[in-house]
Amino acid sequence: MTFGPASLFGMLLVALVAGTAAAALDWDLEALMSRLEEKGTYRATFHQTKHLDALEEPLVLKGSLLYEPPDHLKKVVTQPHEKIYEIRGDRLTIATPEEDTRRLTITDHPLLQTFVATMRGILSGDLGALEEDYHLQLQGGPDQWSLRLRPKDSQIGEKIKRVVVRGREGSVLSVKTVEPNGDYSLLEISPDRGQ
Amino acid sequence: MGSDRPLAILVAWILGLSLLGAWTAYRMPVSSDLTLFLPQAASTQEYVLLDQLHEGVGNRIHFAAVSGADAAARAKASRTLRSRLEASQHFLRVANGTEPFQGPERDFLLRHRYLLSPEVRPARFEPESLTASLRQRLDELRAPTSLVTKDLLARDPTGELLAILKRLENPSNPQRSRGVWVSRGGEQALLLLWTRAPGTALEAQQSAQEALQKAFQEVPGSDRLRLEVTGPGVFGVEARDRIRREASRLTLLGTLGVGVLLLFLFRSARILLLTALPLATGVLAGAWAVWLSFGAVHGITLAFGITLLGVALDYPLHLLTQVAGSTPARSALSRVWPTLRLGVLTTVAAYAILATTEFRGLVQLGIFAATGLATAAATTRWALPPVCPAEKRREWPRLALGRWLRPSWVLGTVLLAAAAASVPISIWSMPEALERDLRALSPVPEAQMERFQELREQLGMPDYRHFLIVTGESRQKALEKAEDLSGSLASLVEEGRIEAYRSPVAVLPSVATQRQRQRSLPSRQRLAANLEGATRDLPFREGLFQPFLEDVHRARDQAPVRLPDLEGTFLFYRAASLLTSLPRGHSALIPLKGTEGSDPLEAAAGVTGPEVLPLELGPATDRLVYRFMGAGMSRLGIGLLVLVLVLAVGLRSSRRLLGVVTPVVLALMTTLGLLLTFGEQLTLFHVLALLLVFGIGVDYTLFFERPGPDAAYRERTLHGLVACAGSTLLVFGLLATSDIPVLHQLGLTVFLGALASFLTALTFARRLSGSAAPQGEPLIPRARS
Repeated sequence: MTFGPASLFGMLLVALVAGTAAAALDWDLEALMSRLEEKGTYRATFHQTKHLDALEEPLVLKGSLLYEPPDHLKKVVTQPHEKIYEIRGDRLTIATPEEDTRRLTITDHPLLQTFVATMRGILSGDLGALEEDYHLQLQGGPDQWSLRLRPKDSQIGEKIKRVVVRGREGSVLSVKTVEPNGDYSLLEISPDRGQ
Repeated sequence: MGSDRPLAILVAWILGLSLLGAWTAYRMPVSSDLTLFLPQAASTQEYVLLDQLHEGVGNRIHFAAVSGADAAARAKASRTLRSRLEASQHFLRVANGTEPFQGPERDFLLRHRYLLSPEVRPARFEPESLTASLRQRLDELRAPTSLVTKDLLARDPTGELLAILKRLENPSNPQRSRGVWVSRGGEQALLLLWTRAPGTALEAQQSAQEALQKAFQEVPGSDRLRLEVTGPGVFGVEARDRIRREASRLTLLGTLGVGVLLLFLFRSARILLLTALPLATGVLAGAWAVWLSFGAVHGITLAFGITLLGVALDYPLHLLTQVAGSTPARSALSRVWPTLRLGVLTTVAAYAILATTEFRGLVQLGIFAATGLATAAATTRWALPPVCPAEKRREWPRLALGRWLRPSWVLGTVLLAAAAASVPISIWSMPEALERDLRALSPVPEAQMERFQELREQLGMPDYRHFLIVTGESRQKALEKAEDLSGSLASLVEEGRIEAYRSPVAVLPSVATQRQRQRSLPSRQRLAANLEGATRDLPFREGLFQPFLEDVHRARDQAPVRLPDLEGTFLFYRAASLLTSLPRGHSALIPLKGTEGSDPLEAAAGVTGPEVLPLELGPATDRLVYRFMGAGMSRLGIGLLVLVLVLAVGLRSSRRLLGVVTPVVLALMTTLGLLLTFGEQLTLFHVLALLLVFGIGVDYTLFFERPGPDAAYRERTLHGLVACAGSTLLVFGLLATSDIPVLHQLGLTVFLGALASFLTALTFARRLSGSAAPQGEPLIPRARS
C-alpha cells in the first residue's frame, strides 16, 4: 500500500468491498492450506487430457475422484477403459474388468510416491509435506488462486518440470503437470453437487 | 680353543639369522587364498563346487545396512553410496532398490536387446502383435506412472528391455521406502554390493571395505548414521585379523612364559638364547623350502608351521641340560645325539608323509615342518656345541624332580584305563565327531553368521543350495543344453513344484539362439510396412518409431554376444559365475530353489536327462571335507607306520621298539578319547595337532627309555624333559583358552597330547623296553649330593 493522495481512493475502494478485500489481504499460503484442510472429503468428477509429443492428439480420460483424509485416494477411470486406482496408506491397487487386480507398494516407486504425496498434500492442505518436495509460489486471491510447485529434488526435476494447481476457495479445480520435454497433463476437477 | 671364538660364532649366527630373517620377512610373498587348503576336484560336481567357492558370484557379495538419523537421511546415504561406488575401482555393482540396472549394464542390454530378449520371435513383429504391443504402450501412457515408460517408447515399443530385466531380477524383492530398500521395520536402508575381487582375495577385500567406509564417511550427515557391513569378504578379513591378533598375543604370552620357565629351570640367559637359535633357524629354513617350491608361502602354513616346529625347542634343551650340568658339549652330544637323531628322523618322516597329500596346503605344511625340524636338529648337532659354554659349570636349583616324577602303579592303571576307554568312546562318538560342516573350519562367530543370513533374507537374496550341472564339449553346447532345460524348469515353477531357478542363459543365451532371434527380425521395409499397418488407428505421431526401425535393422547383422563381450560389467559375473571350464568340456550351473520343505532336485529329476548332474551344496561340501579329513587321517596312519619302521631300524630290538611305540600310541588314544569326551568336533586341525603330538611323544619316550648311565645324568635328563614338556604345555595351554576355533582346537589337542605323552612315557617307556629298574626302585633315583 502506498500512502499519498491516491491512497484515499484506495481506502474507499477497500471500504466498498470490505469483506472480500479483507480476506484478500490475508491471502497467503497458510490461508490457502487451511481452506483446503477445511474442505476435508472430496467427491468430484474429472476430465484429464495428456498432451504428449509422441502422439498426434491428446489422450483423454474421464471418471471420478474420491479423497478422504488423511490417505484414502481413489481414481475411477470410466473412459476410454474402465480402470480403478485406489490408494490406502502406501498400498495401491489397480483393477480392470479384464485382468486380475494388481497390487503395488507406492514406496517402491519414488516417482509414484512423490505423485501421491503431492496429490495428498494439495487435497489436505499439508503445507509442510509440499514444502519438503517443492518450491511453492502462490498467485491470485481466494476467488481464483494458482499454486505453482517446482521440484526441489533434481532427480524428480528430471521428470517433472512444474505442477500448477488452480482453484477457488478451498476447492481444487485443475492440476497441470508439465514435464521437461513439454509434455503435460491437465486434470480438471468439478466437484459433485452438494460439495 | 680361544674363549672368544664361540662368542664370535654366536654373534655371527644371530646377526646372519636376523638379517636373513628380516630380508625374508620383507620379500617373501605370503598368500592368503583359503582355497589352497581345499582339496583338488575329483569329479565334475567337485569341480563346479570348488569353482563356486573360489570364484562364485556369491563370495563377492556384501550386505550393508545404514541405520540412525531419519528415513530421509538414510535413503540419501543409500543413494550417495550407490552413485559413489557403483562401477568403481573396487565394486562392480551396488544395488539399493533404485533402477535395477544403470550405466554400462543398461546400455549393453539396450544395445543387444533383440539378441537377448526371450520374447523375440517372428510373430512379434507382425502387424497384429505390433498393434497389441502399441496398445499396451498407450495404456501405460494413460497411467499415472506413464513418465517411467515414456523414455523408451520410440526405441523399444515392443518392450524388449523390460522383458530382459524381468528375467534378471530377483524373484522376491525387499521392502522399499523413498525408493530404496529398507529392513522389515524400515529402520535401516539396505544395500547389496559386489566387489570386483573374489571373496577369497583378502587384501583386495580389505581395500574394498575401506573404500566403502571412506565413501560412507563422506556422505553428508554420516556422523549421525551408522554403517554395518557383512559378507564373506568381511568375515575373511575379520577372521584373518582376529587370528593374527590373538595368535600373536598368545604367542607373546607363551614366549614370555617359556622364557621365565627356562630361566627358572636353568638360571642362565645364555641357555635361553641357545635354545631359541635352532628353532629360529628351522623356521627360516622351512619358510625358504616352501618359498622355493611354491613361489609363495601361505599365511596358514607359516602360522601352523611355526607351531609344529615348536617341538624343535626340545632338541637344544636335551643337549644343553647335559652340557650346562657337568659334561662338556662334545661328550654330552655323543650321548644325546643317537637318541635325538632317532626322534628327529621319525618326526621328519611323519611330516614328509604329510607332503604326499593332494592338498596343496598340507603339502606346504609338510615341507615346512620336515625341513624346519631337520634343520633345527642339524643345527643342534653341528652348530650348537661349538658355541656352548662348556667350561662354565653351573649348579641348578635342586628340584629333586625324580621324587615327584616316577612311574607309579596308580598312574599306570589310570593311563591304561584312559587309553582303553578311548576305544569304545571313539567307536561311539567318532562318526558324529568327524566334522562335516565346513563352518567348523571357519572362525566366523555364530552371531555374525546369523546377522548375514538375516540380511540375506530381508534382501530377498535366495540362498541356493541345490543345483543342476549341464555339461557340454564347448561352452556354447552347455548353454544350448541349459536352454533346452529352461522350458521344463519354467513349467515346474508354474506348477509350483519348485519355487525358482536361475540360469546363465538369462544373461547369455547361446549363439544359436541369438542367431535364431536375428533370423526372426524383419527387414527394414517389411517392419516399416507392418508398423504402418499397426499404427493406422492409433494416435502415434508420424515417424515416431524411426529409432525402433533403425535398431531392429542394426540388430539383424549384429555380432552375437559371447561371454568376453560382457567383461567389465556386472553381467559378466552373473554369467561367468555359473559357467565353469572343466578339464574336458564346459559346464553351466543352474541353481534351483525348492518350495517349502521339498527337494528341488527330486522335482527336477523327471525333466533332466542323463547328462545333467545334480549337486546339493551341503552333502557335496561334506563329502569334500570328509575326503579332506580322510586324507589327514590316512596320513596319520601311514605316519604311524613309518614311525614304527624308522624306530625298528634305529632301535634294532623288538623289545625296545615295543617300549617306545606303546607309550606314543597310548598317549594318542588317550588324547583322542579326551577330545571326544569333551565333545570336540574333529577337524583337520585336530589331525594336524595329533601329528605334532606324535613327534613330541616319540621324543619323550626315547629319552625316558634311555635316561642315562648314572643318577646325576638321569636327573638332568628328567630336568630337560620337564623343561620340554613345561614349555609345550604352557604355550598350547594358552592357545587352548582362545575362543577362535582353530587356535583352541590346536591348543587343546597338543596340550592334552603332550601331557598324556609325558605321563605314558614316564610310566611305560622303560618298563616295556626291558631296561626297567628292579621292582620298588625309582626310575630315576634321587641325586645324592
